[in-house]
Amino acid sequence: MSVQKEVQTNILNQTQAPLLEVCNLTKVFGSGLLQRGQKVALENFYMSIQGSPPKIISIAGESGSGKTTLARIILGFLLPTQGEIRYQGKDLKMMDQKSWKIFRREVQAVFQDPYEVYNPFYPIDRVFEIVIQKFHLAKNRQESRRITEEALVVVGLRPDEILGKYPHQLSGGQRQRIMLARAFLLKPKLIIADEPVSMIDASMRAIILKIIMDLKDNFGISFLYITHDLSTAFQISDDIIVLYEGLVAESGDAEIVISSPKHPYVQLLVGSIPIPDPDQPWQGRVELPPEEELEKDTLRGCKFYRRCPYKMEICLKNPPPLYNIGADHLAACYLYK
Amino acid sequence: MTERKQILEVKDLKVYYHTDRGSVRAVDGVSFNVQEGENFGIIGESGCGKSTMAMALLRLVVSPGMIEGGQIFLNGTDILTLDRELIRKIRWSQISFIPQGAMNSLNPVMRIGSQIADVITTHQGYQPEKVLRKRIQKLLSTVGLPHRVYRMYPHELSGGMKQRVCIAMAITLEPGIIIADEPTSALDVVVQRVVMQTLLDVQERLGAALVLIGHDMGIQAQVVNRQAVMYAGKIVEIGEVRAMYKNPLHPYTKLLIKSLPTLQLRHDFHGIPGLPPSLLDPPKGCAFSNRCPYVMERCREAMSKLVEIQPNHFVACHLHSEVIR
Repeated sequence: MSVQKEVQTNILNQTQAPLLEVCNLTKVFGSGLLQRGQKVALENFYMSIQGSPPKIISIAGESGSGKTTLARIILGFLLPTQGEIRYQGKDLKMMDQKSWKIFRREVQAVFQDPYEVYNPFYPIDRVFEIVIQKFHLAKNRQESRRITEEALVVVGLRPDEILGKYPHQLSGGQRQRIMLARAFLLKPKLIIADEPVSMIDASMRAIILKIIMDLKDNFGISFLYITHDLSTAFQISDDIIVLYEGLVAESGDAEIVISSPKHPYVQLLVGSIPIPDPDQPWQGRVELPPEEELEKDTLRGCKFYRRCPYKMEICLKNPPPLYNIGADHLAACYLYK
Repeated sequence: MTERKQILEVKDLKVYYHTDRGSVRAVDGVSFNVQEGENFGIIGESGCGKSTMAMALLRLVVSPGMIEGGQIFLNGTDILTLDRELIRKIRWSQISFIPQGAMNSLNPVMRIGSQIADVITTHQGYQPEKVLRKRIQKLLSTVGLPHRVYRMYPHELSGGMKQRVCIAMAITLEPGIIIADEPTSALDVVVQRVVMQTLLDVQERLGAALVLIGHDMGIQAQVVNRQAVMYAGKIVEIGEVRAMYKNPLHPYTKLLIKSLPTLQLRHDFHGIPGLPPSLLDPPKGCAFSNRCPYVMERCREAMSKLVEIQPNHFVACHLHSEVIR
């Protein structure tokens, strides 16, 4: 690349820094000599969210995949072992007070448990009051009340039915919607939603998923949707990244990855979704080797080796890199070498 | 088709929780039966009373809950008339239970082997350790766990393995019927499949009946043959699973199935707006009337009884009773 071109590219990159960029992220838990007792939760993870146009990106995986660790690191609750998180081009670790405050406002979170996030001693109004106060969102009580009511309406709740109530007087679905309203109040650019509907009844899930889509379509908010439920991921995501044991197994357009997965693990995952149709039963049987379950697996190569129906010798040598198998469609499997 | 014997018959069961603010009618007149060896499902969302009912089947309801009425016939005997001692003998040996979150109820300071041994020795008296160990290790194999789990502690096992230990416990004394309340709710999709596979394997081997209680229609569709839908303490529809998914009769069942995310169509959102009524002060008529798109005047007056609309397909809804008339 010529010097001139490089300079031009750099200028372009600066003005178009991605909203969120996760670079070479590695997180290892536990210490101990000779790597005993260490768990590599995430390994060399990369992800880039542009922000415009807004998108819903799913991080899908089972327990032990690293998805919750990823959410915590992005939100700044946990420090990476290696790598960095950049918000609008700035490394989180090196942000000044001003930038950090902006980050805290523009990146919001909604968590899995709509019960534990509330202080039971206060009416739910308090969750809005705290935020309005901290970020100076209103000049007086009337304005404070007005914007709170607006936020509740956006998530389909009636202010007169909700304000003044205590958490125990509301259902899980209502509480979760209140959390979304609270996040919305701050006019964020990105909401990290960690399993937002997994503790919600089936009949209410669709309603909350629709709210998430509306927030994206009508207010330009991007979402990082973390889940183990591929059916809901299929419903709302633009893109999907499937994690397995801290590494990316497959990533790409959500519709394509889920309807025709290429990585053997993702195929197993999709095939194990229980379809509410007795005429579409699970195909065949699945065995789980106890070594893998007990996390004492000491294989060097691909972590899915033991269960993989297509295992080859090369799979044991080194973990496979991500191969390009289509438009922005990647799979970490030697089948696609 | 030969009529299978009924192993469980529940008649008009009522379980209320008595609180300062009144009685919560958690289970309000529920009737159903289960044949020997059958896979029967009870589906409902949170607060519908299904877990309370599961506890009632094992006579595990504790204050402020109370069984207010009805009968539960197990192998022909109404267990609500039996004294405590007899009930203790029946639990585990004739009817066993895998409660919700069972894997979290394993004693953290006891090895797995000892916990399973407890079940055996409580019912069958003392047995030498060698004998117990062989028996328990064999049991562990039937649920796909290696022998060494015998000496392990719960915290050393994964969620799926712990749940399979609970299944092993539930079949130790070879009961005729197993009640499983959301046995896979905290588990990942693949582990869930393995655990359900295991449960079905052992059930088949034993010839036991299985009552699977849950809120996940996908799991139910994969596992049970017949199913009851519960709403606000009552059963609103019972029938064979295939008939119910192809042709759901009750509006709640219809809407519930419609709200499930599929892998066919994206951006397809059909939740059920509104909330179930408070069971402290249930409405006069049908409990679903405030959310039902087909609600009629009579629905607010009185709830319909369960009526057989098609062979073996019952529904409690005026929409269908009208047609019969």
